[in-house]
Amino acid sequence: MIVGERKPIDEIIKMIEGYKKVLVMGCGTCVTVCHAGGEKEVGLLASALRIACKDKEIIECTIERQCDMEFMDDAREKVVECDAVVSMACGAGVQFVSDVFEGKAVFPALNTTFYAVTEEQGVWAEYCQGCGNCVLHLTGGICPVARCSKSLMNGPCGGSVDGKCEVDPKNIDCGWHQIVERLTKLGKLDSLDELMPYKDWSSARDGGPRKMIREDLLL
Amino acid sequence: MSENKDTALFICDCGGTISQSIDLGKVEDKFKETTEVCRHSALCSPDGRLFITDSLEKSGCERAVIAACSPTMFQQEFKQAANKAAVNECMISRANIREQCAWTTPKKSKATKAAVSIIEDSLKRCSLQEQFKPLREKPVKKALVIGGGVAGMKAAKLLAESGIPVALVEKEAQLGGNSAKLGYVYQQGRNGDSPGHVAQSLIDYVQAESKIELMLESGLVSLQGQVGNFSASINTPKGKVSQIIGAIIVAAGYQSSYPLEKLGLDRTTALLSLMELGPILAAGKLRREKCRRVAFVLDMFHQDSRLICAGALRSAIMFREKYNNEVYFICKSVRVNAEGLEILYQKARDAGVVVVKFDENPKIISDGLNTQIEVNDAWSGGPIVIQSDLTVFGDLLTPNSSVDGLKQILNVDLGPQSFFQDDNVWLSPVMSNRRGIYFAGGCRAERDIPESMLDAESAVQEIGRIFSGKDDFGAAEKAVIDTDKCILCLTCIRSCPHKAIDIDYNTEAAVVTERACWGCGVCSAECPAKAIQHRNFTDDEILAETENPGRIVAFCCVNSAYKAADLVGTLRMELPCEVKIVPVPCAGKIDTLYILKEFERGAEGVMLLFCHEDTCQYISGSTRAAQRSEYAKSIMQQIGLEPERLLIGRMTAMDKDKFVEQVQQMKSILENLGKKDKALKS
Repeated sequence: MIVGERKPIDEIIKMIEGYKKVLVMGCGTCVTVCHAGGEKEVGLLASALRIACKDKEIIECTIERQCDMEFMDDAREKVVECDAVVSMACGAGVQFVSDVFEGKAVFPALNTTFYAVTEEQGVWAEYCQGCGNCVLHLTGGICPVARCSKSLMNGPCGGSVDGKCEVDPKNIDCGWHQIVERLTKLGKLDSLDELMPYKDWSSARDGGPRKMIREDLLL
Repeated sequence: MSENKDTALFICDCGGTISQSIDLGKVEDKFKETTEVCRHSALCSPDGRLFITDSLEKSGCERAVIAACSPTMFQQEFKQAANKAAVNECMISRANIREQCAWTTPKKSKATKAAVSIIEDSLKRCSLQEQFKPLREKPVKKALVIGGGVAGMKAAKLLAESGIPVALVEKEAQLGGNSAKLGYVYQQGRNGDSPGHVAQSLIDYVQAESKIELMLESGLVSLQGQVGNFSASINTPKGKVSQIIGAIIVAAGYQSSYPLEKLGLDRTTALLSLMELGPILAAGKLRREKCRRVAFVLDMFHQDSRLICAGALRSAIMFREKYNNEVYFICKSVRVNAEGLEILYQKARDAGVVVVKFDENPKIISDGLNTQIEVNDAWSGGPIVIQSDLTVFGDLLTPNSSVDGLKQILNVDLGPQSFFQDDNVWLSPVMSNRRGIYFAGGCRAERDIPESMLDAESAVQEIGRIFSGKDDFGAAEKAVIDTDKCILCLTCIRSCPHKAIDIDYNTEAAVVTERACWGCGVCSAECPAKAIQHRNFTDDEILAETENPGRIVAFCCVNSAYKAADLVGTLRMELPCEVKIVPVPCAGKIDTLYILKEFERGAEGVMLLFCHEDTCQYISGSTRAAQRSEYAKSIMQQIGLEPERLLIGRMTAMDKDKFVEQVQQMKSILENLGKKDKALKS
């Protein structure tokens, strides 16, 4: 899922300066699961804004997904009546609300952070960077792009000590150390004998904004 | 009688104790336009309860507010009175105008005003309450017992005797567990039977009884479902077997070990642990020349348990009686503090066992056959050197190795020493954090034979309560999930202290099993989609009580702080200022949102008053509340609201002084801070 965390509320207050009626708009999918922008967090942010900004009217709504047009209808009435929208979706949702309701001021309430798994309740870890060319079949199911600090394709580097990464030895495991351990367990360590070629980053962000089209699905 | 009034307001004089402090006539006048006001001198009396039933029947009201004593009193009686008038028990709301108003507010005019406000809030709350029909799904009357030792067999026997079929699963090829092997270590059965005999007679019963399905060399591999309807998968030599059962008793036993190597000694026939000695003694295989001088050495690594100490004393006595040899009992202290055990020490001394107490661990040197023990005698202060040709050490007892696996499968908590059972005073000795799963014998603590059998009895009693089907375990106050809003984020399933929530793949939502839910409200306060409400304590109902919050709102756990507040009234102590007290079933129900809402509505300070961490009736509710309050404080800080305005206080139901102190503290914090609007960022 995509995870994010709420921006400090004082930053959000600055964004909505000058707007009288503000809609706090939640998203019911990824950011609800990661406790960043679901109905509960919408309630908390709206309540905090009401306490802090007595001169403003703060209204709330949470829709199923802010990344799909059809669900926007559920918010339309409230978006139309407000002066600004504070979206609690990921960056994609914020932009899409802005696109769909062009002319309306739309502000982000979250910092969208990464694609994550829930390691345990309240702990999310980055597992994927959406690079567009998956190599997990070669690396024992552990991603060198997302889980090596340097996204090395032939690691580990010299900064791997006792399974920890030099970037932050306390908090970051060395991705390549994990890959080697996993492949050893799988009896497939020799798959590392083959050097991986330079990664072609054009399938990732380096090729510019990406768009995916499935011809068979087009209506 | 009146028409169009759907709510009855019962006002109780409480034999004058309320009416002398509150002008109830004024209160009546205030509400007679909008509600059916019914006043009585003592609603809790049989006559008063009849009055409730009659008045509800005559007026045709569907809801009622009872303005009287604390809701911690007579709740069942008032509900029953309402039920008799065909008014659903969930349509009754209480207004505590006695303990938290009449008795804490000396000035009559002030008390009258406060009573009106309390009743108004209760009426608002009552108007939101919804009817509830208890679910009466019958439990499956079959039990699973894990472990074929004395505890497990005893439980199986008791269950079978009460007509309940049992599946008894034992991982070994034979029944009996430790007690069958360890002879002298154990105390005799209650009727004086030897441990081996106790075990054997249970084995005979269990093998012959048709209601007991015996599964040897078998183990539980997975468990689904909830109390009353578990589905267990068991690996047996014949393959995997499924069982539908209503309840489970875990009697997986303990295991013993002794780290001789830590004393620099090798394991030989002359250096044994008590549990290793047991089978040798039981088999009568020890020759006299091998044990002319025997030393029992206890407490080398930690204080050995009562079970070990008593077992060692019994073995020591036996050595004196059977072999007439020299026997030394070397320990830090003798622990025989239980019925029938105290005498063991005297018996040992009478039999000629030499007891040596030490403060510092003795030095032990051994060539594998002869051992020299140098000990500083705590009484004389002098060193004593003891030569022995058999040295016996007290075992370290740990839960059976299968406990870890079982913990995962059963989804239950472990206690601090990795034995079963969470360390919480509210859990009776055999209860787990999940209803329908009970522990007995050595897997939950170091237990002797009579104690293990007692555990079995208690566990079977708990199961009897569930299988009777009469106990609905506080039917109304349970979590209810809105399947449309639930997005299966798993938060509730993970955070439920009683593991009462599962995934329902039909509705693609989380589902609460009512019988398994203890009604703490933790899940509803955690849900990020606001998909869970707590029946009778919905967000709207709770917040309805504080539409006009006043200066200070105190969310109080009904198990501690709310009762402490009642006690303040009972003892006629004065509250230093007006506080709006809002009861919650557990601190775990206090949503971060409530805290902000109160500030939003005008409160200057919010108090969360609840139980100490390890005495939370719902295990983790108090911890969750404390964690959430930190989150609330971080939000407050971000908008410039002083975090001190949120005050956390932990107390017991008896801490009346602490309650007053906390309110005073809040009051002085607010005086120092001034009005909150000054602080805010914009």
